[in-house]
Amino acid sequence: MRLTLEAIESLQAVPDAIARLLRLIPLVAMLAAAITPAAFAMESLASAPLLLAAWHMTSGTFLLIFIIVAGLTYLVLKFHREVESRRYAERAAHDSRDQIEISVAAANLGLWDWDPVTDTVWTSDHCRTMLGLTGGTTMPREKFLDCLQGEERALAEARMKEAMITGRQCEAEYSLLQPDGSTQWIASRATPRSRRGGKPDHLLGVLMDITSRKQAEQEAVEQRKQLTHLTRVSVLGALSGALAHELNQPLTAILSNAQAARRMLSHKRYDISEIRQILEDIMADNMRAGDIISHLRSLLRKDELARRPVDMNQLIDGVLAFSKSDLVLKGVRVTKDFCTDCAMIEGDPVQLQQVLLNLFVNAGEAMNQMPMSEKSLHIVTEKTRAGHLRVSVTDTGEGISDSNLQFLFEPFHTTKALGLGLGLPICNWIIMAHGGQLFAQGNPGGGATFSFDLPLPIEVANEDTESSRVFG
Amino acid sequence: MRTPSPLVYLVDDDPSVLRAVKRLLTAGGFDTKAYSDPALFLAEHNPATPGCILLDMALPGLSGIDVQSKLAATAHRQPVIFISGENNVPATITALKGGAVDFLLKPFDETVLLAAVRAAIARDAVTREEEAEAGDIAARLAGLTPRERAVFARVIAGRLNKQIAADLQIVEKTVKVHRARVMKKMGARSLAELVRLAYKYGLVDKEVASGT
Repeated sequence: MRLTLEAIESLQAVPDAIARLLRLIPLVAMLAAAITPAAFAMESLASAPLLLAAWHMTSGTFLLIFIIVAGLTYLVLKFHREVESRRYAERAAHDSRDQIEISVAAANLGLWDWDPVTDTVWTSDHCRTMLGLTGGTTMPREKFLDCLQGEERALAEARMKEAMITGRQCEAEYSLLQPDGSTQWIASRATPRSRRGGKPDHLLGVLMDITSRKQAEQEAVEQRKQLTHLTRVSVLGALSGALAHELNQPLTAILSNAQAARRMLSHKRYDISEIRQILEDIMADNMRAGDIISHLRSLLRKDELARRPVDMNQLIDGVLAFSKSDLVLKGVRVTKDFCTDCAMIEGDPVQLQQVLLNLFVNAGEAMNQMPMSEKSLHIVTEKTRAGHLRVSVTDTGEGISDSNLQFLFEPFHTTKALGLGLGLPICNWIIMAHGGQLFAQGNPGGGATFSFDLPLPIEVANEDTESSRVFG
Repeated sequence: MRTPSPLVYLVDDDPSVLRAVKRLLTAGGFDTKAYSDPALFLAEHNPATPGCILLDMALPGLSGIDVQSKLAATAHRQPVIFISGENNVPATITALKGGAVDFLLKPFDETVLLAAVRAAIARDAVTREEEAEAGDIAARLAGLTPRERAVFARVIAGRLNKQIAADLQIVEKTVKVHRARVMKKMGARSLAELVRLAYKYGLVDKEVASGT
């Protein structure tokens, strides 16, 4: 195929050489015109009339012969040079083809070239090895596509046709089922080319084996999911005491109410409205217990990122209510300073709750050694100048040492005796997945502030919200 | 002296639990005063009222342990029963070291709760009776003249009349008179009873020390 291409190109080169030759004719004519007056000058000097006559007679013919000889010499020289340069170009082309083949094989790439006229595909050796194809370099397209199954095959066929029509490069990834049951991933990049100029008449493709990259990607996603799950479990483990307390409250109320009612009924005289009130209270506490359980379940699920409108203030209040016992047990005073009309964002409420929970638990733990009167947690939501929602959690704990600050978001870096060192990295991943950023800083007066920025909807981001702050 | 009927103080920040447990205690026959705010409880609590205190561990502002240590500063305090949703061993130890009589884990059964309250109230009654008796004895002791006190101290220390007479440089007969008055004023019918009273209310070391 490459040879025919070159043959066509060299055929095209012959008329080209002739055209260049024709351009030389005016030059030769000018040369002749310059020689003729010189001949006339010689004539006036000559003494032999015969010679002069002969000169007169033959000068026109002589000039003609001279022109012809000069022209022919030029032509031969020119042709020789043309042949030389063509030979050199051929050698260079051969060299560069060798170089391409060596580099293509070294880069683990497969090459293919589809000719729609004959509907055949030329394939490089490496390409056939990658796709598990047997046979010669050129094969019908049907056979070439046999390496793909079902939907992917149809997709590949459609993409090839489309590329030929639009003339645009197309990129795709395909999974190939190997005989041993494993999956091989191939990335393909096809470029429509034209041999004669104008409309594309063949499709040149490069294949790359991306199996290891795909596997690494999938493993990373899987690992992150597991790690996220793991910290959720560990955060909940730390909170389990407080959680049990939270669930025990409604259970205590239900049991005591029911037993009180039974005692009342065993007396001869009892107040029926009191019994009714008891039943109402029992139902309310039952709902409360149910809510706590469903909340716990939602925190434990291994979900994908869901995007829903989320009211950050409500979310914070929800998590605070959930971790109330933990904070109360530790004697932490909680204050809030919420922005009223900039708290609506898009995000995964469960994952954002996880971030808040983690920050609250960390803040609580950082204040363990402080006297109770100095334990306080301050939570602020506000709009930044850049039009983001910023949530800041400030504690009055030990603060962050400079040496820890730089490793804060590194996995497996922990200052806690029983910590996994995964809480903050996962918070960071979650916030990044929401298009935001998590920051930490030690405060000059002691304690630390953790804050994150999340993008606000555009219309809210552009509003001026200076006057919309409330203090709670 | 008529003792007022026992009162159960209940302190829990969860309004629902507070209402339910108060109902149960009332249905169980106990007068109950419920507080959701520990500070208000401390302000209104009357240590002189017999009864007991049911105290939640996890309270906002002041923890159950804090409330307990503040109560410890008052005299005639009622026994404290802790109620907690969390099986927290260090907190339990602190509570028991601080003199808590019981520790109930939420959710608790009525029989457990009522039995604990009953036992605490009984214990409070005993304590109050003993305290009353101790106060009585102290009053009787205060009625002794200095000379009688000196004789009393030597009698309970086991010294004979002759020795006491020598100690105080008085005649034995006078010692006998003082001794008879001490017995009468202290309400003791025998020497053994006098010694028992003195030991029971910790008068021995004090009196012996001051007498010699």
